[in-house]
Amino acid sequence: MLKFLGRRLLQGVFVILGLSILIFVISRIIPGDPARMALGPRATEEAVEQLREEMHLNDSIPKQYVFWLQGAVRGDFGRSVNTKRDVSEDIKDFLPATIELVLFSGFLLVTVSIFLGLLAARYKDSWVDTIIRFTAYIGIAIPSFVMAIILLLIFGLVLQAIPVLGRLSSGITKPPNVTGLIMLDSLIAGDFKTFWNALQHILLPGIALALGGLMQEARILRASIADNMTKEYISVVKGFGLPKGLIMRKYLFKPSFIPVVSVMGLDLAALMGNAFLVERIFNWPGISRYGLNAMLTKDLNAISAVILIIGVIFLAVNIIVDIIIAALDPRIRLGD
Amino acid sequence: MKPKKIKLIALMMVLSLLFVACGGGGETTPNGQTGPSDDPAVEPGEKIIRMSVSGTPRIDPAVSADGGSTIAHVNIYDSLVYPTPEGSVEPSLATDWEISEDGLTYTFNIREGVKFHNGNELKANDVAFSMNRLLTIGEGAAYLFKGYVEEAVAVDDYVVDIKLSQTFGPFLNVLTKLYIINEEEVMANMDPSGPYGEFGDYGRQWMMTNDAGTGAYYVTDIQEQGYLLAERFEDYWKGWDNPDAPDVIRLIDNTEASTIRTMVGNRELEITDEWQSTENINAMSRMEGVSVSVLSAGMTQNMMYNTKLAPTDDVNFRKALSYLFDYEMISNQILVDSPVSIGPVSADTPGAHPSLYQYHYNLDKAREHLEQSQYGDQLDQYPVELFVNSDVADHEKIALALQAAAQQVGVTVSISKGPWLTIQERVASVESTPNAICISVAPHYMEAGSMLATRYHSNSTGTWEQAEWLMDDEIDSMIMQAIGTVDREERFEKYYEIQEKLVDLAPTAWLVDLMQRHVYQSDYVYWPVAEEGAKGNVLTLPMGYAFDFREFKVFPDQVPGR
Repeated sequence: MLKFLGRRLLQGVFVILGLSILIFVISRIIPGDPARMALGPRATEEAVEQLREEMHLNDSIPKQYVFWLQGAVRGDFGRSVNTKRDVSEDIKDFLPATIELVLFSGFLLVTVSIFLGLLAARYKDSWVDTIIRFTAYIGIAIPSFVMAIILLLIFGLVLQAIPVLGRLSSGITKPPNVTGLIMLDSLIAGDFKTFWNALQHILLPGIALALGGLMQEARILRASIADNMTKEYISVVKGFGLPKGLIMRKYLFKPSFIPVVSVMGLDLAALMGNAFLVERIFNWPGISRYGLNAMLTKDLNAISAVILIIGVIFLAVNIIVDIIIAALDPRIRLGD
Repeated sequence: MKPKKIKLIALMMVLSLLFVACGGGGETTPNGQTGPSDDPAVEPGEKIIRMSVSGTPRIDPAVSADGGSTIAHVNIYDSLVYPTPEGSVEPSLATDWEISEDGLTYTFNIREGVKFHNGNELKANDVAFSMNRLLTIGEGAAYLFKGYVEEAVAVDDYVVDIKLSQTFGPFLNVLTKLYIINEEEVMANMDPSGPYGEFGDYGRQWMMTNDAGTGAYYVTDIQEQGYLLAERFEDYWKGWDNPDAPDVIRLIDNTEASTIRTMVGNRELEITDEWQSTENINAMSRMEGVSVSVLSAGMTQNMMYNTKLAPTDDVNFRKALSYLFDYEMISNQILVDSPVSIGPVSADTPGAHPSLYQYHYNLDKAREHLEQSQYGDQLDQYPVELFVNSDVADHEKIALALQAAAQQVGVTVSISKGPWLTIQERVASVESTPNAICISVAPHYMEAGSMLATRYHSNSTGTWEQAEWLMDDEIDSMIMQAIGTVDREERFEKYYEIQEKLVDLAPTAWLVDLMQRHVYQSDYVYWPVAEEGAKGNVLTLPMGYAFDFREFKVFPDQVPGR
């Protein structure tokens, strides 16, 4: 296991290094002067030149990359021309909000997809299965940002039943910052009122973000279980008279779950990327919305930092998924 | 797992989701409504104005001049003079002023007893510091003063001289963009390692989150990607004779259509930004207690022709295109409430020519000019690339209408779309600028000279404000002469002459004088500028000044449904 982890981490370092070179070069060679764009068409040439110097834009691209990499290793991604603050400070402010949203969506994605998949498989070809399959089509077909708009308009505008914008309501004091995740921090502080409020706020963006993947995984799990049900070994264990629950848990769920975990891993990692528009719609002050703004304003330092962070998270999730798959399937040996 | 257990768990999950969704009944908003809210510090019944803006407002007037930031500046700071709807100025922090005979020195007497938000008294040195800081940093509204202002000097505590290097006719109008900041406070918070020598960073970092103004409101909180929150300054020098003025203002960084619609529906937003589509504005206007305000900031909607790229490098070809726009249809159906333009300057901007020739939809005239064009006999070889902002649906409608009309006279119009970033990149060089591009532009101060210089002087080529690449030495010289003329009437005559010449050159199809449309909660918010507009008297004010919130009235007990 340690050998496997070491190898994957080493691979990861090279992948991240490659990613950093790629995003750095792409963001620098697209046309337009970032300094001019940051300061506007009317800023004086002196001010633009000063910013160019500050951003090392007058240097060659390899030299710029070395400056950037030296800073990035220290956690210094330079200054955002959009927010006019250090990018690291922006990330510190915005990343926890996205992490919280992604963790919540991930929790929904894993628990609800397993539950629905099991339910649909258990009642295969019944009305329960039909409803879940029908809902799954809708969930998969509707992009998360469209789902976000639908949920926002139904629960926020028409029903006015739930707070839908931002992370907390008026009059609710933010708990002391421990992890940056408001729900967790409020639990640590024993402040259940804030926890409840934060939960209400995160519910709709969380659902909007998770729904597509959730439904897809439920379908895969259902199909996988249905497929394994026809296998001979299941007939054998049935023949031994084992209880249905035990057959489902021990002999069906585990092998059927492996293809789901692979897709789930990718979907969990993709939540960060999909959060762009969901965060915008729900006024969620996260890193994805920050990244979107950075791209629209050609904020080079912010773009590079956001993509790098999403890349690292993507990689980490994939390593974790590999470990889970290996744990589930003894035929896969880590490090072999 | 037993079926009963599964069903029970399913039921519990559905119920818990519903409970979370419907339980608690939502939060009580400041105006007593139930529903969504993320307002951090507002008491129920409090007089608050919340407005959506594009981007988190930047409160340092030396580094920002965008729409949302300007609204913040107008409310947080004061300028020496205050603009009037007639296009002139009236005293503000300056009680009066004198102009030297050569028109190069302006001497201002500064009002006594004006307090900054930290309690310091405003003095002439603060005015000089604000001007010199703006010029040194070179961002924000500095471009309006750079090249004209030599220096600002405090003569004594209450007299300041601003010396110009050349005469500048609209100088007093431009001064509405000079916001006065507290020198002592800013310098006490400057970072000595900054790039401005003895001035360090000139307090730039500190002013990211702190204001140093004398305005009616002071900043209490700024959340990046979130909002700017400001509260009323009780010691404001103009006083608070309006008892219903808002206590709190909140500028929210969000223009997302569905979000804005939800917030308006929940009475969580009193005024929307100007970027909402016609469809969204229409949908919101059907809500109870909501009205649409129409204001003018002198903006024009332009179809800019690249005058250096075939076939739009031919004046007759450009004229032909200008006869292909159905201006009335655009005004009535696409950019609603915006009257058809008459020339390059919005009709309500002082110095606009009152009786210019206006191109109109006329296929015969278009054919006539095409025949006179050097491309008339080879139209199929010269398609016109028309570029529109992919985020603005209305612009695409205009492009499609032109495409259909052009087809009738044998001109092929190909429509390209892209985000604002791409537009900026495309217009950065003459080679990459498309034949035609749809962009709206507002004047930087309320006089025709601003629009003419911004749009047609050679120094604005390569920016989104001039995709025409006109680069006409005669026009450049006429603009500079006009702006340098101190006498207002004489200056306006020169503006007229430039506008006539431009109409003849047809570098642009001036489509409509673009009105800003904002949805607002007219049942419990009294907005003086909007009220005037509703009476048919659309006021024209420099950017931001229609949102001087001190003049507003808020009646929390009149919120619909309360």
